[in-house]
Amino acid sequence: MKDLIRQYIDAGISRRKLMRGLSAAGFTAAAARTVADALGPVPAMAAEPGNVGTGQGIREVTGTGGMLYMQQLKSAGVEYIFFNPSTGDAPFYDAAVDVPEIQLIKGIQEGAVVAMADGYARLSGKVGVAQIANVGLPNGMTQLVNSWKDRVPVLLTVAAFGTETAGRDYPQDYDHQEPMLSPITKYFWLAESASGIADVTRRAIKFATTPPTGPVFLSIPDDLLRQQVSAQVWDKALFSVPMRIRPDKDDVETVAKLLIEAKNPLITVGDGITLSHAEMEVVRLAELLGIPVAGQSGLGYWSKPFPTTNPLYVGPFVPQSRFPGAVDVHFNIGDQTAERTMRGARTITMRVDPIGAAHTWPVDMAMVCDIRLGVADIIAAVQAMATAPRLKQIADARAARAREYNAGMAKMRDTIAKDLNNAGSITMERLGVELETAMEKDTIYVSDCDSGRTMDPFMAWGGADKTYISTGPSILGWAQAASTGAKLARPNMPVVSATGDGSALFGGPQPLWSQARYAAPITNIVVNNRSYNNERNRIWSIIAGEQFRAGKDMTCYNGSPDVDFAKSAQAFGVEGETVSDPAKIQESMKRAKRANIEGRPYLLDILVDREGVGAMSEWHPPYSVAAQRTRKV
Amino acid sequence: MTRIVRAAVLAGLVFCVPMATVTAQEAREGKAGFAASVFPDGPDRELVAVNCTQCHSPQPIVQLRMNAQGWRNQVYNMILRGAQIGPGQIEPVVTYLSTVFGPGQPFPGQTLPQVTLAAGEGSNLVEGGCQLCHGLDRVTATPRSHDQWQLIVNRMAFVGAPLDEDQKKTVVAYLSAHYAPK
Repeated sequence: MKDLIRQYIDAGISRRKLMRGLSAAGFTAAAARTVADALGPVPAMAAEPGNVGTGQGIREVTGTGGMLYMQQLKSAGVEYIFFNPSTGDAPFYDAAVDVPEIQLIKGIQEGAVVAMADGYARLSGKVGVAQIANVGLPNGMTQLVNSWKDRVPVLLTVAAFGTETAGRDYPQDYDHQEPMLSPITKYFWLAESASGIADVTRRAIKFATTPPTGPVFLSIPDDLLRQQVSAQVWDKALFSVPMRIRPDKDDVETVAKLLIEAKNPLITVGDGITLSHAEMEVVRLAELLGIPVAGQSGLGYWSKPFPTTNPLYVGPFVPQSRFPGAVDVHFNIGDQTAERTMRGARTITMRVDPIGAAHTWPVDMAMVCDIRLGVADIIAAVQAMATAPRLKQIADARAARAREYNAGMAKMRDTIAKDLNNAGSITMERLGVELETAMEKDTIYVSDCDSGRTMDPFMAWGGADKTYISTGPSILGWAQAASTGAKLARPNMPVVSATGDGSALFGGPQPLWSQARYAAPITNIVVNNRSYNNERNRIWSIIAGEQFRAGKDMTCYNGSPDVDFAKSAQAFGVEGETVSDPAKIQESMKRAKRANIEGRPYLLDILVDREGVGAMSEWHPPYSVAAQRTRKV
Repeated sequence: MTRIVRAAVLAGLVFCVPMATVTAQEAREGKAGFAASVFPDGPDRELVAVNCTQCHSPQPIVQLRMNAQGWRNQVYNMILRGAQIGPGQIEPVVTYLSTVFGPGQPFPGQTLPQVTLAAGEGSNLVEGGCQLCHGLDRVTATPRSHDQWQLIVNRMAFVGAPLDEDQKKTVVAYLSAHYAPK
């Protein structure tokens, strides 16, 4: 045992190995811990964090487990921790006192905390760190589904029950939390020793940020967070795996040849382009060959990487499109749902994610690579295969058709906007037109509004225009919080959140509290039709059961009471106003912009028309708890 | 949340899953099977059969009865969501829909429930107007306030109920008197 202790003191073995050795020698767990604690460094003697260099990019840190965690985050370049507190988390925040490089951003509900981290990650390209109260983990998981489905790198951490007390069924104790996260994370882990905390933290960050990116979960028992230990922390460069993988050269040449020789090619685009920062390359490829581009619209997409005003953009993808008609070569870049079979077409898909590629529909060729590099390689191959004049000839002929098609579509949209404009109330289409006028071109628009998808075609996205982010799975309650993270990632760009009233009821007004506390100048729009409007339409139209027959909306009407979102915002420290007159939208947006310029968030509760089947019905199943009483208390 | 997506997946609306997709040629040649068979013959039937069923089943269409104004708004909404209907195709599609699924067109295989309305001025307008598009059970099943009846009657007149302004007032007064919450 002497040898064992000497090895530990000389740092030849870890605390975990010491504990195992003591246990093998007959010590109980508690006794082994007492011995290990006695042998550990005295806190007052511990070196200042970050002072002990052991090599370039590697530091030896001595302190609590919480300090190891914070120092590893710092070395990984983490700027913000989105959090809500719990008692067990205290060692994280004790450590934060001495780590000014990391700013804490407090949320007041776990879902909002995770959504803030998610929004930050989507806009910054960095890992979003969310630390939430252990017992509130299921609250945070609701929003983590958005991160999982959209491949957003989020590190979700909790301080778990102590190793001694776990499993005793204490009031807030439930066993084995980690597997709950299994279906919605790339990686989940329970830290097993204090000295291993930095190790598992960087491993979690590596999993989150290595393409295909995604959320990870880390659970650290609170007693380990309090222990004094020494361990290395590494700079991010030492554990980054950039995955700058180029596609197979033969595949590149095959695709280039197909795209040049195709009679009627189509490119479909999706969020993989956004994650790979390949927007410009995809535009270059499309323009080089004059290929129409479709996709990035509807449920299942969270970004619009291809400029919607580009003459080659032809709108949402459907397998039998009016334009460009019978496609012979379909090149899908970065989207899973657009791998659907187009009759008569060869399907090529380029994805970062080997699991997602060819997952649901058959494809003729799957290319797994960094999309930016992959598309750049195809551009180079195309340019090597054909002369510039020939490429121009091909592109001009194809693009002319797309331009003609788009001119007709633009005219049709104008007609629709005009026909659906009801001067007395606000339609979705009118709101889309008004927002397009009011928002600055470099606005980041954070949308969580299912009914609002009919607004989107009236606004310009991508390229030099506004940035659009949303969520693929549409787990409600995301946008107001995510816009806070987005503003932190891009403080010098205007940020506008648009949430349906359904989403605002799910997620708000907790995110507004964070916006007010941290003076986050964001314009929050509640697109308020007092209904889960699209859901009612689907229930009444597709299922068309008794609710449709009887004209009874059993579930979707959100009025009665009619929530006053502006007043609610004011209670949380955010100015707000209600807008019901379409002619006054611009004035209201100007007031919001003024507040933002002055450094304050603002909220507009915009009352919009419900539309579709059963839209006028405000009936909901009547019930009064008060009426059930036999004693009026 | 989840239920929204699940409903949409059922409907094929999430990914525009081709639930009963037919091609224009198939529709023209009568080989369209399910999708085309539920769309009655008529000019430009294939436009509807091909475009609409790429994203959802025929059900949401065949169960509704609306005039051209109502169908046009519905077609606009679908175009904004991705329906592949071109500028020159809107009116042919609206004409087809408002003809074969317009007010007064029968619901094949369905018998509308017999409902005896309360006696009163306006009952004949309700009986004659509402039944053009749906059963009277839909009118009488749900008690509604005067304001609600006004909104609904206005909406119904917009999409096909043949009521002039005076008749709308009469109908609203009748419904408010007989089918309001007690």
